[in-house]
Amino acid sequence: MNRLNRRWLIGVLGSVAILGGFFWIARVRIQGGNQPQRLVPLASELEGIRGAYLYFGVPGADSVVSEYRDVVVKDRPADQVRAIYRELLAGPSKGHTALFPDGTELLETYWTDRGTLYLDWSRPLTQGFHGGSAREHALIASIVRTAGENLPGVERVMILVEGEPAETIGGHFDVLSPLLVRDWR
Amino acid sequence: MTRAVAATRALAAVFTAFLLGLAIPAALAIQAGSSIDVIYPDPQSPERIAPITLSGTRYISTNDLARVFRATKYWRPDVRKLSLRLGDHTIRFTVDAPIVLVDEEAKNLVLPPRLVQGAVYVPESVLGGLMDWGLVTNAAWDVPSRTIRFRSQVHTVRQAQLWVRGRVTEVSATLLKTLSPRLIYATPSELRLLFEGGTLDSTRIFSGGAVLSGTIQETSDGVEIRLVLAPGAQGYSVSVSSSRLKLAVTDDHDLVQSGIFSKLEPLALGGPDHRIRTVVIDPGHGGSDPGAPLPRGGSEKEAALDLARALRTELQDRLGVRVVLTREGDTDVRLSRRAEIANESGGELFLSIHFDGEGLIRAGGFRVYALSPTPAPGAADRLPVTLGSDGGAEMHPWDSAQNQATGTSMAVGQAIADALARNFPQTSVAFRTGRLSVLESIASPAVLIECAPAPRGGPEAMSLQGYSVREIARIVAQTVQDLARGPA
Repeated sequence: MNRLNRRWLIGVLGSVAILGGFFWIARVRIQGGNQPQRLVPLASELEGIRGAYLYFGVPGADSVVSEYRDVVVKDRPADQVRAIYRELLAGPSKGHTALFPDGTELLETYWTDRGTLYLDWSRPLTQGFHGGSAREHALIASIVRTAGENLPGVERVMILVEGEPAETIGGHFDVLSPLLVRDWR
Repeated sequence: MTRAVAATRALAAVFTAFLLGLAIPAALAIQAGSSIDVIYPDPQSPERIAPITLSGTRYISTNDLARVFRATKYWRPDVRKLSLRLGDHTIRFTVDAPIVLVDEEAKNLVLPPRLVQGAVYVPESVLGGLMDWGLVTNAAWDVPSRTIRFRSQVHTVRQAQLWVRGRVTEVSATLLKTLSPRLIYATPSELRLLFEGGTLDSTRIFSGGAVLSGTIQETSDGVEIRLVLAPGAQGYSVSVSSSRLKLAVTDDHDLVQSGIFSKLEPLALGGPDHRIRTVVIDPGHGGSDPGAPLPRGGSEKEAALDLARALRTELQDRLGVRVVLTREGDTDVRLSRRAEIANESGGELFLSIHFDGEGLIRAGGFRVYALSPTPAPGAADRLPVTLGSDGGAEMHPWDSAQNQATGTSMAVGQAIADALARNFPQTSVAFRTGRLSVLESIASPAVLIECAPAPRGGPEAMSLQGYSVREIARIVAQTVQDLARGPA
C-alpha cells in the first residue's frame, strides 16, 4: 500500500469515527434517554414524585430544621400525607436528630375540609417517649410544621394515639386539642 | 517495522478522531447555562440552580422546578409525558413537543422540552410562564438579575421606634391592619404587650428615657413588646389610631393623677394583701414515667423531687407558707390529678419542677415556662359562668382555668428567669410561653421551671455549673418572696 492510499484510508476511517461519535451521542440522547435515571418510572399517572420539607431536631438547639426530600406519592391527599410522614419517620439524613420514639407508626390520617389534619399514631409515640420539654417540643414542631409546610390548607393538626386523643406525648405539652400550625412556626 | 509503526499511528489517529467525535458534539450540545438564584423568605436559605444550554437555549430541569415551587411530579415513561402539580394547578409537558397543557389549556413554548440524562428539561421561558399563567403567585422571576424571588410575608407590625419626649417615653409602630394590642402585665418594673397572631418586620432592641431595655420581637403567640422600666416609672398608656400603635411610659406622677396615664401596679401575687399562704410544688413525672434521662445519670423524676423538697424547705423558712407537693415519693400522678391537688388546696402559686439534658441548655441552664396567653382552639368558646346575680361565684372551665392568670404567671416566670440569669451568669436561661398540659387547669398563677444539670459535675449529685439544688431553690424562693412583698 503506498503512502497516498494509506493516508486516504486513515482519512476515511477518521471520518467514519467522527460520524460514529455523532450517531452514538445522538443515540444515547434520543433512545438511551428513554430510561430515566433520576425520575423513577411509576406504575400509573396517579403516582408521582413530590418534594417535601421534613422537619428534624438539631443537636444542641431547641429548634427544628427542614430537609428536602423527594417522596413518591399517590394523587389522593391521604396517600400524600402517609407518604410524607413515612419519610419523616424514616429519619434525617444530614446529621440532624431523629425525634420519633422507636416503633412509632402512622396508623391513619383524616383530613377535614375545615383545615384540620388528624394523624393517628401507634402507641410507642407516647409510651416510648423519654425526653425533656426540648425533645417533646421539637417532636410536636416536627409533626406540625411538616404538615404546615407541605400540605396547603392544613391549619390545625390533631394528634391521636390509637384512635384516641392523647393528653400529652411526654408529660409537658398539651396535645389534647388541635395544634394551630401558626403557633409552631 | 515501518509498516507496524504506520499501522499504530493510523490506529492512534482513528482513536483520537473517535474521541473528538464524542467530545465535540457533546460540548456543543450541552453547556452549563448561567445560574439562577432563588431567594426564599426567611428563614430558608437562598439557593442556586444551574440551567443547561441546548442548541443555544437555556433549559431548566423539572426536578429543580418541582423542588423550588414545591410541585409534585408525575412521569409517564411510555408516552414521555411529565406533569407538575402546583396546588390546584397542573402543567403537562411532553418531551420533544412544544405544546404544554396548563390546566387543560394549550400553550406554545416554541421550543420543546427535552430529555437529558434521564431528566426532563424545559426551556427557561417556562419560569415566566409559571407566573404569567397564574400557577405561581408567591414568587417573581426577575430576568435581568436571573433571580426567582419569593415574596416575603406581609408583616402586620412594622417600623417600631422609641421616642423620648420629656418625661414620656413612647414606643410607636405601624400596624398594617387593625390589630388589638393585649396588655399582658404592667408593673412598675416591667410592661408586656402582645399583638396576638401578628408578624413583625424585624426584631428591635432599644433603650432610653423610662425604658432600661425594650424588645419588640415575634414569638409563637404573635408580636410581643417587652419593656424593662427604669426605677420610678409611674404610669403607662396604650393607644391605636390610624394604624399606629403608641405605647407610652412616664415617670411623671401628675400625668397618672390626671388620668391621662394608667397607674403601674405591682403584681397581685397572694391577693390584695400580698400575702401568700399556700404554694403548690409539682415535681414532674414520677412512678412509671421517669421523664428525661440526665447527662450525668439519674432521671428527671428523681431530680425534680430533690429540688421540690429543697424548694419546700426554702419557702417554709422564708415565707412561713404552707407548701403542698403533688407527689411526695416516686409515684404516678396524672396531670389532671396534679391540677386537682393544686386547686383543691387553695394554692396561690403553682411551681412545676422539671429537668432536661437536651437542647440549648444541655450544657447547663434553665427554661422557665408560663402558659401561652393565646387560648387553645376552642377554649375561647368556653367562657366563665357567673352563678347568681350581684357578684355570685364565677365558675371557670376546668381545662382553661389558667387563662385568667396568664398575665401574672408570665410576670412571675419572667422574674424567676431573670433571677436565675443574674445568679448563674454562665448558663443559658430562657423564658417562654407554650401550651403546657400541667399548667392549663391551674387556677392560680403557675409556672414550670426546667433545669439542666451541667454534664460535668460539682460536689453534689445535681450540680449546675457548681451550684447546688439548694442554691436554685434559694433563688426561686427569694424571687417569690420579693414578688409577694411587692416593691419597697
